[in-house]
Amino acid sequence: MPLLIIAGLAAVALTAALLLTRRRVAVGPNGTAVSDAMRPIVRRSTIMRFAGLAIGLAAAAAIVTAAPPNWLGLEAALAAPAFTLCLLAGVLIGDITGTVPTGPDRAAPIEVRSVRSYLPRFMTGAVIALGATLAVLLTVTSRMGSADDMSRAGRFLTLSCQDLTASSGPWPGVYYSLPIAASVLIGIAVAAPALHAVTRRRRPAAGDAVRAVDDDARRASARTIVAACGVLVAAPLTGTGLFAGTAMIGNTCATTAVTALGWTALVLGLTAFIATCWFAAMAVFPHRAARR
Amino acid sequence: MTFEVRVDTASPVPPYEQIRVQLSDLIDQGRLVAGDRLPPVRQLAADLGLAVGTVGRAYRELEAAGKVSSRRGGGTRVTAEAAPQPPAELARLAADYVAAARRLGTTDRDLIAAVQRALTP
Repeated sequence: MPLLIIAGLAAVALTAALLLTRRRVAVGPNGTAVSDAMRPIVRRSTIMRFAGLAIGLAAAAAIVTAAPPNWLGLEAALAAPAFTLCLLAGVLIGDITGTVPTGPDRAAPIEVRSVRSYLPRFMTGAVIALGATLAVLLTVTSRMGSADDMSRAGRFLTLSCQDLTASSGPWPGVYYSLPIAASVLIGIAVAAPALHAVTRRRRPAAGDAVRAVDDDARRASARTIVAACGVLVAAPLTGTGLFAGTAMIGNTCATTAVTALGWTALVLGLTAFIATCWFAAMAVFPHRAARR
Repeated sequence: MTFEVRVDTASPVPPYEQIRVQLSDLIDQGRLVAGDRLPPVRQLAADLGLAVGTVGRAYRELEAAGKVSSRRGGGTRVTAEAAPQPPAELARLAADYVAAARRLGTTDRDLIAAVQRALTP
């Protein structure tokens, strides 16, 4: 069954990629030459991006459906990193393959291409802000968490008031926060070389027109990578915020401060959910994001 | 305006020498001026499909000639000493003109205006 899902999603993705690249490349004053030079690059990167997207969706679905019951919801937290890693791998492969120059006569522009020049500023800022928020929230929930009835650390929020002790959960303590943090760090570790690959990919041909279109293609790839990182941090922030908020508000021993913290976490979770949807859309259609 | 480096791998001239000569010419002609940054070695090597050491050798020779300087984290930049100098003959003619104009009691402003009028077709 997972194989069928993967094959179906890959077929849909490849068809979409071919249709999208067919009408995207011919721009600039010297349309035909630019199109000839850029078409293989745009086609390869788009196909690999969509392939990564399809495999990522299938991998996320496989993790969620095939996870053993004793994972206790951890599979939902790891689905987003699995999706992101596959998407990043697609972008990375699309930008590093088939770019070796051939023939004796070779040319290169004297220019300095840096990662920063291709990064989308607002989106990068949003990812950094959400990443910092996730780090703070996971630190707080890890410190507040306590063991559940099976002695699994950090799965419940246990509060005491007067003679009563109340537990609520599931709680995003160390049981969940450590795998989430590790998967986010792994995703960022893959995103960095992917961004470098986008920057270092050689120019397909000489000329200002080709350079302008090539820079657009690089910006689209960089936007996909940053958007994938956005999904990587926003998806676990959604789960962490919603579960932490629900547990804090629902705990009978919650003080006013804890309840306020719970509502804050809930709002953060909902905001992160909207951000996750936005980042996912940007990852799929980076060219459309550029036109706005 | 972006300049290009071209390499013919079938040429008997080694690729590093081809790169060195072209970059040196661009600096001498004033197309690359003091402070301009050269592409990172790895980037230029990837763009040309050459080994990193090949481009690195060209950069090292330019550095030895005092035309560029490399700094960790700052990349490789054209040095101020490598700024193009006007030909000696042109400098001598300019000095003669200035000396002759001063003998006539011409002010610097009139002296420059005369040159500008002469440049106007």
